[in-house]
Amino acid sequence: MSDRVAIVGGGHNGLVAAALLARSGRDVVLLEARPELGGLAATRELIPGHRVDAGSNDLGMFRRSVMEELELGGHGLELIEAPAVAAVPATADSSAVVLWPEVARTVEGLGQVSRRDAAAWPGFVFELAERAAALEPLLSRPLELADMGRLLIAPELLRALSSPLEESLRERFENPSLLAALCGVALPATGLGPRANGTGWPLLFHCALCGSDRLAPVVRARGGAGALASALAASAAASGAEIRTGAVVSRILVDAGRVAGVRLADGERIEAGAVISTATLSVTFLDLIGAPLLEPRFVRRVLNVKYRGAAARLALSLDGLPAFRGLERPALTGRIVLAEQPDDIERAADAAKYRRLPDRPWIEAALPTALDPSLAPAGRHLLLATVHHLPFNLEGGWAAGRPELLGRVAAELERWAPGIGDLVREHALLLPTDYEAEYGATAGGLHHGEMNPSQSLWLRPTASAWAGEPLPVDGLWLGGAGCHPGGGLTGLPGMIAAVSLLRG
Amino acid sequence: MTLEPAAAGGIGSGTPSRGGGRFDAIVVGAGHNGLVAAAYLARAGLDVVVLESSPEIGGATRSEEAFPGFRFSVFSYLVSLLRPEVIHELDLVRHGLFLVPTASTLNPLPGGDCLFREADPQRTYRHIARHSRRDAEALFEYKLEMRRMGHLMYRLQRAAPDELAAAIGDRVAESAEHLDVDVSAEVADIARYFLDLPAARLRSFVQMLTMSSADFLGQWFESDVLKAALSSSSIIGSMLSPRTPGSAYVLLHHYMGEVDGVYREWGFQKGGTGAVAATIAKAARSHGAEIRTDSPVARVLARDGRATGVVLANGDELSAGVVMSSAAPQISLGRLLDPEDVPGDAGAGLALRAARWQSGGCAGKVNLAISGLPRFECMPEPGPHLSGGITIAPGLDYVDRAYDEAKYGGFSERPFIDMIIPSVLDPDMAPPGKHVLSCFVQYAPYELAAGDWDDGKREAFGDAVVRTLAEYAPGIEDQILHRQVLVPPDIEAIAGIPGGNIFHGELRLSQLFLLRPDPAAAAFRTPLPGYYLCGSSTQFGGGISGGPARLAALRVLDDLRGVESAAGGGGETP
Repeated sequence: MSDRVAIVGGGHNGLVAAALLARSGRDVVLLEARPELGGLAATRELIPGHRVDAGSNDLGMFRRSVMEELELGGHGLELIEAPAVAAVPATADSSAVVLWPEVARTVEGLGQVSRRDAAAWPGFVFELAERAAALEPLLSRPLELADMGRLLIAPELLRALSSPLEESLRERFENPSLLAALCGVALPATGLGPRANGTGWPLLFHCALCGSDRLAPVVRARGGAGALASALAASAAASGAEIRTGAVVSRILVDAGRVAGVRLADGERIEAGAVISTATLSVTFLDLIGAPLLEPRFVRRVLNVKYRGAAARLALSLDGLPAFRGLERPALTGRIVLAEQPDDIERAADAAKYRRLPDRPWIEAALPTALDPSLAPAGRHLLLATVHHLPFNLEGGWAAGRPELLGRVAAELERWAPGIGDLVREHALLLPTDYEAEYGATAGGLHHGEMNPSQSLWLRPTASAWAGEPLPVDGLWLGGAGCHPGGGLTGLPGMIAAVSLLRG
Repeated sequence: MTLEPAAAGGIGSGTPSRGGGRFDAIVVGAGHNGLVAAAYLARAGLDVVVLESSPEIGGATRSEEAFPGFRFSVFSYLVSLLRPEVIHELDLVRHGLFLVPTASTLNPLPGGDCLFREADPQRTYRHIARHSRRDAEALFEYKLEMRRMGHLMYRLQRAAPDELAAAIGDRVAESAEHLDVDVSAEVADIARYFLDLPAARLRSFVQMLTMSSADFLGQWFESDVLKAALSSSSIIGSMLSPRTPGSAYVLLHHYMGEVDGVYREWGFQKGGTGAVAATIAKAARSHGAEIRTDSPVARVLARDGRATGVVLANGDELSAGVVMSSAAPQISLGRLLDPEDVPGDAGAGLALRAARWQSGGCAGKVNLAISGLPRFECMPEPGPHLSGGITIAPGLDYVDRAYDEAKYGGFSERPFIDMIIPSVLDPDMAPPGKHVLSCFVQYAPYELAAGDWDDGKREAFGDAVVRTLAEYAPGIEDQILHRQVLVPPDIEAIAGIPGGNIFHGELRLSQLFLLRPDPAAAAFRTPLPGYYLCGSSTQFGGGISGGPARLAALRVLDDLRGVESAAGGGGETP
């Protein structure tokens, strides 16, 4: 049996696993189908001359101890923390709100729109940090089902994560823009509106992994998210890992219930005694291993994984910074949430239930060039508009839906930033179907499985088990975003896979 | 603590008198839970008085003559969750409990189609197979799983939440000092049973607490028609759609029923659900409990950090060493309780937390007196389907759209309707040949986004229900003799449930177990010694079960025993 570990997928989780294993002296080969590394955290030239992040570009949740252990700074990773956390511009009917990492600065701004909310803010941040700290220890190790008992006996934490987010927020706050900002931070890439039970969980998750008492700071890599992948790859290579791009894995080879290696689309066979798959559960088990080798009961579990919460990303090259109403330049550096109130998100989620486009899409916008001008040619700015809560299986299909979506997003952007249409020089659009076809994100779900409580914690697979039952193939380990603790640039699923594998 | 002389001097020596009086125990509210608690206390020899604010007992279960010649329960309509131990221990059958199983459920579908589920599994198999053979096959497996889950919940419900949490904490947490509770051997057994369940069972359990019923059902079934039909139980009484996370728990909650030892059977009480309350009241009275109606309680009285009785709205004072409230937390922990009376700082935040309790109603009741049996397009002739449940829920999208309208503060224009024709089972309810159509309708929010529930809105809601019925039973609009439309504010006003939620508060993970209704009062004891909760808003609560009230009463008796055995009876709080 080969000592080699084959890692399927060169997203950030696969790279973390590769680097950690190589550092521990293991023989590692990582196989990435695409020409560039990073997976959904890749940076691509989708618009000529522009470095466009295809998926997530926020490193705020990335485990700092992993960065240090892998010496990512020495391998070229430079972090930039945005001055702003999140902002909602003003509209004709609503006021602008900006959340800053500094509590006092946020309070000062909130005082302009609601004295009550300004007064409530410090207590909110404190309480959130306290609960996040209680949750954090559960997120960086494999969980056992019995751990569930810990939550059952911690009523306030249980309440916070199982309640509807909007309802919890309304216990403290009243300003619609502030409520929208917090929902906009929490709910990207989920399929749930803020009125749904369990939407407290994504906010707690986010804050727990940001690991500080500041609320969900935005942290980016200079040069784009792809710089993280490059640094991870350099670290892995320096420890001796073999990293191959353009290597499409078509099969995880199983011999007598044990992995034997992988086969590539061009027929090449790579022997390996262990395989870490960072692909979605559907891809790993149904495409790469194949249902015939698995028990029907297990196959049914895989088929029942929900990937709701598809997203589309529109990248725009602009002739200058757009004028979002009521926002000064520093406020443009973080997340820009284009929703006037939580119900704007709720209604988008409603439309997706019936497989329709939202009448008014809510948009999570970012202006990465406001932090890092090197991402676009001189004089240009890059705006990334991510449209969340989209249906993957759009009624009528995405070929017809594409121009419709573009039109609605353009109209929304114009409403929030009047005149932006005249600044647009070029654009590129990634649809949910593109995320599936190009990145293997089943059903366009960016988190490899919706982040709701019924697919989180004890119910999300971990490296070698799924909700208390071992994986059906020996030598197979899971290490992607579909694993505990979940999606986003955390590095944790990859880290947990590497640590679990090393422990055997 | 020091017991009031009536209790300390031996159980049952009180001297009730109209007006004020001195008792061993006072129970606030004569709904089924208040009555169950009173019956258990009286059965143990305590001198008990039940104080009901309205002129009649029964709370949300009461029967009344809504139209001349028609007498039926205007709110609740079926009984399944009544705990067998309550039935047996209180000997309710002897006191008149008579549950007739409702054997079938008919789901009419557009175009004259239907899904009919009968008691006979072979026939049900054939009905479902018309829509999906795979689903017909899967139904057995699904029912088995639900039965297992129901059994688990059933066992968990035998344990008070604090004891169960402490027993679980002993097993999983490094420190559980905040749960300094004595655990009985029975509860320790339950905790062990729970934590040692096979992984697949535990997984199902956590899924049930967190999943939407549509997803949960989707693990077995493919047919939208069957999923919608089965999901009905997941939304009853809840501002949830089958696609909202958490609705799977409500589904499970409705799978804990048992009638005459037959699991998961819905029963219909002769005389209406109000007769259930009447039988419990009879049981309570047979043990000497006194039940006073028209006696609204204004406040719980306390002295030296202990409950000492209650004062009525008319100023009369009644004293007792034990006060139990079956009301919702906004009343029990809010209006009735002065936080200043609570020892230490435990009273702080109680009222605030009670105010965040989610108990907004979502359901209306439309009762129709009709001149003859309805003719459903799918099954026009009279038959056994008319003695079972009939549900308008033709698809998940249909129910979800009905929910979405209510979510934003409207009522459903094409609502979900769960109805029975109680007069088929109990002809005494209506004049000969005539019938009552009892329609439980969702969704009707407690607060409308535009305006109040005035007569115009009520009638519009009633019209929407009749219009919807007529799509499946053409001509029904011409059979209607009388119509009664009840919306959540009515349920609030008549049954005294704030918000009009039939479970005294949404049944969702954030309001269950240690959170029901408050972490400081999750074990029936409130922070005011001597003052207890026993209503639907405790433990896993909700439904005509009597379970929480039984456990609450047992907890009271335990505490009293502890006090009696303590030397001199001084100083210790139970």
